Amino acid sequence: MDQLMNKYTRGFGVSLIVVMLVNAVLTVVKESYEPIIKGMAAISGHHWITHGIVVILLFFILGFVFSSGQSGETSWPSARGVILGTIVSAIIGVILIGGFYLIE
Amino acid sequence: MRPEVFVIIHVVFGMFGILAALWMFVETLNSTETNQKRTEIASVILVCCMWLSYVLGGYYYVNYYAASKAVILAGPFPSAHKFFMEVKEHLFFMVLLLATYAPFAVYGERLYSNKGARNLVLAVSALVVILGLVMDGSGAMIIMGEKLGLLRR
Repeated sequence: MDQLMNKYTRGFGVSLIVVMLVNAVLTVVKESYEPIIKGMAAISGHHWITHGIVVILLFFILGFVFSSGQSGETSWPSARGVILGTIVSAIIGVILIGGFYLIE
Repeated sequence: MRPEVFVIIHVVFGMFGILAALWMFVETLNSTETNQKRTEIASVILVCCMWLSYVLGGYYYVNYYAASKAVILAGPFPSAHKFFMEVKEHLFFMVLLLATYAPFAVYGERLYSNKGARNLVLAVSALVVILGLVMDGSGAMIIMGEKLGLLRR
């Protein structure tokens, strides 16, 4: 049986899974469409700075969103789900980013 | 201060971050009530080192890397930038996110009695070590690309 974990462990775990995928997709999208990379560069002076701000802010915002509404220790999502999600998200991120620049 | 100093300190903190992740992995693997505190300390060192590596490396990249990029692209190993640098600068965000998540996964959980939380910390720390070593190898390729570019001049 899956043991209970802190709501922040689970909430930020789900956020981590989502944002690692967002990071990979944002990389491919901004490198594929020049207006996006130019727009990101215009915001902070460099597209990479904007990229960093987006993923870090998103991680904390989604982390608090997924953690809220749950009180204390909670059983959803399961620890197994967070672990598998994290590993799969990391693998997809590496394949998307590595594969994209390999083809480029 | 010479700009190269930022790169050196970036690498040093990145390596310390990988070592902290490895330390966290080993402590979690042998988790007992007595080493819970050490696991928490390792997670804090991990997140501090990775953030310092990010800020210092990012400062160099944004302000000084353009000259290195020009040398690499004109040299015999342009993939050092086109592949290794591009992959490194975007995969690093995954390492940073995993490192930032580490204290969330460690604090507030009794790792010695919670198998699910323990496996989660093991997965996160292992991913930081693996991706961190990929970052390190990519950094070596970038330096090699710049070196070959300079030798050709």
